[in-house]
Amino acid sequence: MTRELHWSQDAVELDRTLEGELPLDELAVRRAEIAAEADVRVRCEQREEFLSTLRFAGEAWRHELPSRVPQGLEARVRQALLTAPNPRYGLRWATAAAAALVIALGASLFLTPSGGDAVAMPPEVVKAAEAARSSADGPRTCSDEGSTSPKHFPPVRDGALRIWRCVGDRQGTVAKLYRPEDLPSIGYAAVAEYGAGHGPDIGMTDLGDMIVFDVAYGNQRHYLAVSKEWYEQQERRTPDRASCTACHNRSKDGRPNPHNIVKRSWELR
Amino acid sequence: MSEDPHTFEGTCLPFLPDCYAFALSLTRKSHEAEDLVQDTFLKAQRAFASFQQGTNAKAWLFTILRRLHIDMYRRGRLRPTALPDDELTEMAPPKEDDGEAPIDLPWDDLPPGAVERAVDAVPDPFRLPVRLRDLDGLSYREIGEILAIPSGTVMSRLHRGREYVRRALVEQVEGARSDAAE
Repeated sequence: MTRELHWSQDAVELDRTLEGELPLDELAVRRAEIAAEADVRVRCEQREEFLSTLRFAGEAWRHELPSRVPQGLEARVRQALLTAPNPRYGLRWATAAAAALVIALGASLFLTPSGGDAVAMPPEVVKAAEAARSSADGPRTCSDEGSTSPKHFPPVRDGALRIWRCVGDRQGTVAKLYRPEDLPSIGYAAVAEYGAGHGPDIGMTDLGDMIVFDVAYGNQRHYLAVSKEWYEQQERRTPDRASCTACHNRSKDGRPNPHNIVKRSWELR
Repeated sequence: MSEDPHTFEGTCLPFLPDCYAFALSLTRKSHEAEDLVQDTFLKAQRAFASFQQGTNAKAWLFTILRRLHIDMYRRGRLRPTALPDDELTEMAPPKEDDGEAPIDLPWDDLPPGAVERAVDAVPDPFRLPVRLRDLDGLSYREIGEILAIPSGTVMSRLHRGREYVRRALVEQVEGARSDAAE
């Protein structure tokens, strides 16, 4: 007779859960189990240790990639792009732009919060604010002390926080951290200082005493809360870059802001 | 000076190093990888109108690159050093541990490049999902699109590939420990 394994005993399901590769409702159920059941939590933590090793290796590998490209390849590709015949490019671009406009208008009609049709505030916004309210140190980033690794982020090094997962791309890297006693809470994020170019849209929710930022990396959304008082200090210091300091502290001072800040207007239910 | 992120060059050229690394992992030969990257960017430029701004340009480029690689292989322009994995038969997965494998190794102490070497040594059908996920940071859905395989196959290959990687890393750590003990 075979016994059906719990999802946390199935490595494929364990990875899907830890990497957020599940529908949100299923993910919420599993996160609740992680919080409630010690043996499930232990399995998750053991596997996460291995997965985070892979992610950190990937992060370091991507960081080194530009130095591994053969000399002259970029120039060769640029030259080929310049000389390649591309007669329909302009027409296609115009068609796409028109299509994108239609899609954008459609989305705005259906998705823009207005009156009673507004979208409910995600619970993670509140969790992020709660986690930040309980932090004595206020917002800090892993680039505070010259390192881009979340492993060197002081609260992680000191054991107050642990690394849940780390995701990144050329836009930078976000490490999602959690308090050991509150595993599924999403309340802190530390962002490595490298990476620039253009960044994803950043959502911003004003809770009165707290400002909560949200950003999508991969198929997950990450939340970072800072006190409004602290945020207003940053606004006075750098009016157009206050949102950057929430994640990056001052490590990106003097650089252009690659993000579009979208003010959220959730319906409070 | 950085390029306008809404142009083809600004959107795609920052991923040239990623494309070259991916092409090299497919062809295993630098000159073939360079040709593949150039063809990829030429094709991507022609198709840029179909790229949805705000989606992952790297995954889009990888999809083009992967299809071109298959086309080049089928036309005989590439030698079969690394067959497209949809033409490979499934290989036997590594033997699973009995029960749960305890992970008490000092992962932080792995030597630089250990994970990359371990990923490179994974057999082809399982190597690409691991590489695209753990080195390139792509989602399961994006990997499925690039490799033209269903998400269930992505998950099972990823799991098997990671098991190869885990075992290779365990061997490296244990080897380092025994060297230190001697």
